[in-house]
Amino acid sequence: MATRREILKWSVSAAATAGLPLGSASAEVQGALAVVVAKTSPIKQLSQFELKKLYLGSIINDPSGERIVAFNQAPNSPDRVAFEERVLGLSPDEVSRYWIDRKIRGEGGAPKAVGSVELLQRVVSKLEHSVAYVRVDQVRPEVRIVAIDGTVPGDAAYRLFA
Amino acid sequence: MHRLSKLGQRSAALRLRRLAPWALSGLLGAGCLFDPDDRCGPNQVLSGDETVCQCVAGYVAGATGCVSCAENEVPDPVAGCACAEGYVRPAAGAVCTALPPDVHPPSGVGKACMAAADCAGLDASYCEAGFSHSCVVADCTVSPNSCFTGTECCDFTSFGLPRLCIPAGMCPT
Amino acid sequence: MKARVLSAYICGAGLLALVAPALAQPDPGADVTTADPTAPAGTAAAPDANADAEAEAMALALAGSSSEATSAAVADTEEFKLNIYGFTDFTYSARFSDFAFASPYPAFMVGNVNLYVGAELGKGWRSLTEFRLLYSPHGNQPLNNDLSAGVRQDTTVADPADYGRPLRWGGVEIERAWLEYSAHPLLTIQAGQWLTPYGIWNVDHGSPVIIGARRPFVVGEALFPERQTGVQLYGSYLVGTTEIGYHLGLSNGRGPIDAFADLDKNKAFTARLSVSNESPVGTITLGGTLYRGRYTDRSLSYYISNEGRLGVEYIASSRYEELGLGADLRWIWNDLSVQGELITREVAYQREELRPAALALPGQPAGFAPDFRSVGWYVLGAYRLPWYNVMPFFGGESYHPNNGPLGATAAIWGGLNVRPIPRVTLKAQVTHAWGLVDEGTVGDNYFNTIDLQAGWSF
Repeated sequence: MATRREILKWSVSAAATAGLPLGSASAEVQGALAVVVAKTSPIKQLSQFELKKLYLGSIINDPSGERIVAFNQAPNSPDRVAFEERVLGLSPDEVSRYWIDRKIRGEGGAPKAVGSVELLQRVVSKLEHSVAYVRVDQVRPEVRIVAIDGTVPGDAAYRLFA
Repeated sequence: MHRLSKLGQRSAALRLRRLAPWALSGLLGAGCLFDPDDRCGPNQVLSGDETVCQCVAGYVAGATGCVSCAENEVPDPVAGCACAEGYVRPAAGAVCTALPPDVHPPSGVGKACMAAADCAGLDASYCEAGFSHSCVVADCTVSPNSCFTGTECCDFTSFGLPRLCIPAGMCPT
Repeated sequence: MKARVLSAYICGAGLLALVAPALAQPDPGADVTTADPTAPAGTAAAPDANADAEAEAMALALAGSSSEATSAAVADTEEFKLNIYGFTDFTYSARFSDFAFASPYPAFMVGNVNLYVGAELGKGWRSLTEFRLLYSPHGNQPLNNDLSAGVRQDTTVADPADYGRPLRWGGVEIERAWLEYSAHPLLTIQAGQWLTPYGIWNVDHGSPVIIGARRPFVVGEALFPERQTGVQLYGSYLVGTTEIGYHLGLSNGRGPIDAFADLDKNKAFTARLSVSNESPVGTITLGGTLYRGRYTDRSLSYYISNEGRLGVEYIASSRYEELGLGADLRWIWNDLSVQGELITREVAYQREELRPAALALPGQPAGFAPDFRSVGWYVLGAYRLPWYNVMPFFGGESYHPNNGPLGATAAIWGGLNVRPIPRVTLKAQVTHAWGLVDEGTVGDNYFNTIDLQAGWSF
């Protein structure tokens, strides 16, 4: 017999695939950060290492061969701070130092930041080769959640929490 | 997207481990430009402290390396190849010809010195200690040239030195 | 009871999944409503449409799409955004030994004033130019052939904007200027003048980034050319948590005017391979670099041929072959950072007529410079403490020039690196170096200094 957790996971996955908001999900899931892409994006999943390298300025292509464009939330937003700590392993100060040092080396700058979570997702929905991250309970219908290391919000092994 | 299956990742890692020693050997093997046993040019030998390539005996440092002196010439630290004793060069670039038996060049020319006392009593009574470290004839006249055949009077007064007889053709222009 | 609850969950979820596509995808002809339930239905559609339009415009602009409107915007200088930034450093240095070849007078100095002008040109194209503003040539004092000091260069002129009062002008050094196109993670093509991608220190480049206040001797002596003009390719490949990177470059190599001219038909080749692995014990990066080139200096000379025609010849005055090899290691584990580089440079004079004369020291017969291999290395360790971003560091280095009368030198150094804010780096470094000159030189043959530096980026 399926456990409560397994049913929850299935319903979250189904709803996420369909693009429904997850307002009815548990608080634990709601606190997770989801990586979202456009509905038509060829990106199905990413590894946490790829996600980290992407947000540290590396060039990574999606399955269609196009460069993935990463978008950030507004600087100092709680979700951005959490994402950078969880995925990049860097505090806000360390993130600032990292990008300053990269620019002095002559390397590229940070992913573009978009002010509001709603606008961010609308932008991502228009660019099928882009990714962003938002709280699970803020996922809009025009975007789709992708799995990270084969896990989605609600999985026991999912690690992106705000 | 550059993602491999688990199997693919293991294969790639294994290939990388196998290639790495060859790549490193290639890099190190490329260090074949420098031969520690052959660091100098022809007719040269490395000095004891390994800082200078010096000419072997019978050769002198010329403009394009160590060259052997012509007949009747000997290596000279200033002139490169100077005429041997009893021979003189009538003009710059000319061959050394034997001096008539009753003609003698000034005594002491070319003798190594560190101070004036080293040249005392010689015809070449001036110790040129700044460049050649040798005894030379001083206070000559430029025109007419009062220096011995094969040498010319050069005016070094603007450098704080007297007029000196030096090998023909060596006067700085 | 539990079974009924469970069934309800399953049915509800299944129902949601079935109807979800219909609910999630709006009718293409319908307006999307906003989330505000109190707003009148008619006015709610307008802000949402505006938001959609805004998102569309932002998407085009941010992603650098291929639409003609965006390309036109990039080409239009009024809308085109140029990134101007840079760094500067200010240092106080004092010598604490009687070393003859360093000034005995403590001094303040503005060392680097570097400006970057960069641009994201769209669709993977990027450009960067870096200038260093200099006080030089004012104050440059050459050495005469007899080792006496030459006349100090004075660039003082009358300032026409200030009643002719004295003004000292300085110069500009172009550190790099390139255009690059990123075609693929495995292939970025960069053309122009670029920093040679060897080791760690040369790539880190700027005073706010590098940990110490001074470059290690082996880096400062430029066993690899610091920068080259030509074309380079680079890219990287991810395998699990390992990143494999490469650089391949073709350039004018090293020469008296290598930034804008090559005086031989030989092009220099640079290759680098690096492997970076992330694991529970941090990130370890291992790299190896190779440089192979020819240095040539020539002068231009005109002549009249036997037929009375004007000819031009390029007469070589200096030439040597060189090979640089470098290995570098960097380990970053949380707040710990350890790095080191080993560099060798071989020089061979294969055209004997162009083997340079050796420096003729008193009492030493004249001779020629031998082929040589210079070797140097440094190791640096640092740890960022949790208080005030203070990072103590220490390191050591050794350099064997094996070229001429200068002997081997070694140094140890240590200090503090503090970043009170991300854009400011404060450093204090004490250096003890020895073996710089031999016993026949007046004064000490060791060198003790303290450097206090503030570096900042803007």
